[in-house]
Amino acid sequence: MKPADDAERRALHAAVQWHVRLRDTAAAGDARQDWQDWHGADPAHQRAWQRVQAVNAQLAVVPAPLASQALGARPPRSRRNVLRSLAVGLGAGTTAWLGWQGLQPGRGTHSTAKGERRDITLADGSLLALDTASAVDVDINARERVVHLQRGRILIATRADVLGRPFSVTTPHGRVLALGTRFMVSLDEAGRSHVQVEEKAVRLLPKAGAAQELVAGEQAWFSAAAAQAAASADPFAASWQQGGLVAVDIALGALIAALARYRRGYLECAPEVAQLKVSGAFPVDDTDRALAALISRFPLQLRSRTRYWVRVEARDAAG
Amino acid sequence: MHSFYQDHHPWLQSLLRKQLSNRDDAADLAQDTFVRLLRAPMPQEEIRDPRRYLATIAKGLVTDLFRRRSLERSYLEYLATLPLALAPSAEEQLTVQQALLAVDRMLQGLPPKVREAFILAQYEELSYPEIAQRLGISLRTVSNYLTRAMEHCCLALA
Repeated sequence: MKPADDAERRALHAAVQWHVRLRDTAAAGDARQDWQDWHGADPAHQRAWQRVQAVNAQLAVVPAPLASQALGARPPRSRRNVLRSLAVGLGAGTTAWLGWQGLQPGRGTHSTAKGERRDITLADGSLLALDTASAVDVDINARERVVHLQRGRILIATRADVLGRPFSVTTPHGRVLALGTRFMVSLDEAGRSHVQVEEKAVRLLPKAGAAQELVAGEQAWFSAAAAQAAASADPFAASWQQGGLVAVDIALGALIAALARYRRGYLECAPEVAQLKVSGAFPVDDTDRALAALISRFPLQLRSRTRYWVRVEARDAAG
Repeated sequence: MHSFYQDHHPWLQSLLRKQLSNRDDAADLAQDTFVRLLRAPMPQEEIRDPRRYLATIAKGLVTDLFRRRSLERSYLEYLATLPLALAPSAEEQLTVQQALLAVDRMLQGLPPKVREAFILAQYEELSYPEIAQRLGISLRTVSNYLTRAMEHCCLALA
């Protein structure tokens, strides 16, 4: 082993020891200061720490219940079961092997095109989900974790940070400070920001207005001048992150407007059916399928002049 | 390589077919075995008995395939527990499946107890004293196990 490799290896060992020490809930608060001294002392320490964080981010992509079940120390499945599942044939692709998706550095710009959605695991392990036509700048540094929302809508699920760095989302109108784990921020055409909290709480800090706290199940709009009063949240508003819009008794016009955000071309709803109440789960990644589901369940039909112009209207008496 | 392929490919494929009872898998793995060989030439000392060497590579690939199918099955079971409305997209499913395979790969070669301590800390978020109690080991050993596992993962990811 070359001396340089040896030094890298020692730095890695130290970085892992720090990682394990800082994760210990019983660790004293001064461990953090000691860590900072170590981290700042040598670029090799910073590289090693990055490596540990990269592994951590990769680990975080696997949902916990899946990991405990699939990777836990339980005895492996019997060969017969495996063979049975082979017979079922779950797709061949034997050489399809791993890109390291989901692994992102601490700084960067991410965006989605219309109709595209993407989940990104940030360097600290937090989830950043981008909805259709959205863009953010991410800056995770030694002091804080910040996501700048430029357009569209995002959902954030923060992960507890061993360094205790604050996590916030900024918009042109102010800052949303995460006090818990899961929330959504969006920008609308009218030039306001919107926040909805799924778990725990956030603090809204409009640029020029008073701070306001929002807890799980609440939503609020804010401008640079002020935050509006909190209202109760739409329980299904975050369902886009899972690829579907869940509608419970909502006006068809609103559902079509929501689907149109994912669809290339022009999608509109005829005024005479805009108030029709509809319910269901509609896939956003395949709006053709969503529309097909809609017309199969409700007295509606599609009229299209071209592929890029579709109108949802009342079904003809003959049709 | 061409005549080598012609000499041994049918033999390897029939060997794999016996092990896998699935033609497509056998064909894929036979192919992968030769691809592996193209990337890393056979060591000199193996050249006298190339079939034994081919069989060794193929056996490793079969083991990988079984493990991968087993993880795919776990993933499908996990998916089945999610409410229908929250079903992830095909792309998200692929990302998680690949991450699962990658993490499994990273953990390969760790002793079972080290692996278990790591899973308990990482995914079940148990505290160190809880892990110590669960596995009947000292707090110090918990730290050692977790350090060892994480370092192993870092080296595997490099």
